[in-house]
Amino acid sequence: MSCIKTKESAAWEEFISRFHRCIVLTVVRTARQWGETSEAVIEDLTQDTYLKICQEECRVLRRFQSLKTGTFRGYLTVVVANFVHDHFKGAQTAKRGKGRRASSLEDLKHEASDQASSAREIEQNIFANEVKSALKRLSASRSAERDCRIFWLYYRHGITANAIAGLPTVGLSVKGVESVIGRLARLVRAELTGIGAVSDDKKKRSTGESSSAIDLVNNEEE
Amino acid sequence: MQDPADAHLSADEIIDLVDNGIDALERMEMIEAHLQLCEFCRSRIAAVRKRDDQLRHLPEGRLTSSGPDCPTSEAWLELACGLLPDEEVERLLSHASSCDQCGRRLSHALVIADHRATPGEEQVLRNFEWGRDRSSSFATKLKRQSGGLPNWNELKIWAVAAGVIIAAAAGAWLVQGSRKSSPDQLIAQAYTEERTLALRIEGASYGPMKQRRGPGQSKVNRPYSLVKAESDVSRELLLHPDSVQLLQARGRIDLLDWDCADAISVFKNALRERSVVSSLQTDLASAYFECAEVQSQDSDYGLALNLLSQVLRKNPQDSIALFNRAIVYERMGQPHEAIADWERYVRLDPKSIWAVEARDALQRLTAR
Repeated sequence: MSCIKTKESAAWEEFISRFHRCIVLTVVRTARQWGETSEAVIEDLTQDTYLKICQEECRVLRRFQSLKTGTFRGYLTVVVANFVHDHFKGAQTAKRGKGRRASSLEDLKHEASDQASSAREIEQNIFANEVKSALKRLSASRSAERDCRIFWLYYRHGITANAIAGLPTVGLSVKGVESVIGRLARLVRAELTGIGAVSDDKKKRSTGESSSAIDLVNNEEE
Repeated sequence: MQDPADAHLSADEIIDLVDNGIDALERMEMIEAHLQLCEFCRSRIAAVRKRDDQLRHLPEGRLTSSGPDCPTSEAWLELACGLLPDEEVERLLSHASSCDQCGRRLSHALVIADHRATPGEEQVLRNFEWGRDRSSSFATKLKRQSGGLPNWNELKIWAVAAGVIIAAAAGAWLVQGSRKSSPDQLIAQAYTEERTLALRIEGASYGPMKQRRGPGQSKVNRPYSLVKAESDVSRELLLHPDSVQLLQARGRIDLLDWDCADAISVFKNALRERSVVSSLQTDLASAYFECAEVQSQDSDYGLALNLLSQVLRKNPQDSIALFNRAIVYERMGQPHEAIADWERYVRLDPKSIWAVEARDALQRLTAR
């Protein structure tokens, strides 16, 4: 934060050397969500981001000092991503004219998904409801809610085990998350196909134990 | 006693077979033999495989729409970047697991928040690495933008050379700085600092012509006033998307960036809001002029000429439209009309610095 205090070139050089990669990466990823991959645009947005950070005597940086949670890198990522989103929203609003909501590529995909549903989508939706019901039937213990959430984030929203493990409050390692996903997938498939009870892991199977409830299989990861 | 090969597969064996293949099973040969004969077990395996496939394609199902209680995209980013307290995280994660749209937003936020780059991203990052020189020069720019003071040596030199002048200049600068510039002022400033357009825009002072930028070209060297104007206008347009003044400012930014197609679209939008405004017509003419220059389409010069003539019919004293029309005539290869306009301009605005350009043009055209 010495660039706020001293405002010297050297401090800014240090800032650039530490956070340039984080800024560019965030710009690249956010712009991609708006369908923009041009290097010229990325370069412009990167420079604009730095200038934005400097505005009003580095108001953005000073604001971080008053926050109680999070790392500066995380805070900077949010600031940069919001700036890039605002840029594209503004540009889209200006070009499309009044009354139209700005939409990222992902928003548009979601809208399209809302508007048109194929037979496969309907079938998948019915299946999604069946999975939800199965998870409810299978869960009983205190960590079952967390496990079901993990399962759902992984299978429904395509979030990787790595990213789930990185979420605050999940409290599991990547292996722990993978283990929860694997076990629940085993139980859900058995439940939905009616092939009978499956054991929670091979060890238990070899000793003849079996289970069809989540509360028998969790906690090992914690 | 039942032959082990006749025993149906257990639930565990079926799932293991689907997950890892038959080779991973302990009594592989017996199971293989059993499956040759047992339709029941084969159908159970097929059922599990189907469920397995459906599970893998779960994200493809139709998504439920977001509701009024859905958190903003910003909230998901803050969660993904670890800026929220635990209780808020719990609340949001619970919501994400029951709301498809928010689940996707969380998924996208997590992609942005991941500090590790994919191999493809690493390649892009390498293209944006700033060397020491670039970092150093940009750091100096940031120092200026953040309100940093010049270093002591610089101050000493300036103090010895012209202390009093500096004090006066600093005073003037402070007064100027305390006044917040409007987007129109910033655009006018950008035009003057980095004039890339031969035609004039309203409110902008004279600036010498420089090499123009163009669509698709890097905007790295845009003046800061233009960057600032763009940021301010974009933000304000979110709040006031119908504002003719803001749309005109947006179009002028496009003009200065030589994004003529965008400029035309924005000016036309603005003209729809307010049917006829001379300055908007003049700006739209400039956008057509740019398109004609970039795409060598003479018909666009014709459209520009038509608009400027309309403005001048309403107000023959409009010096900006007159100046611009003279240039359009020149480009269209109509020197007599251009000379007539330049002569009128010099009579209308004889003392300004723009008249110097007009006289130069007159000299050039009459010498032919």
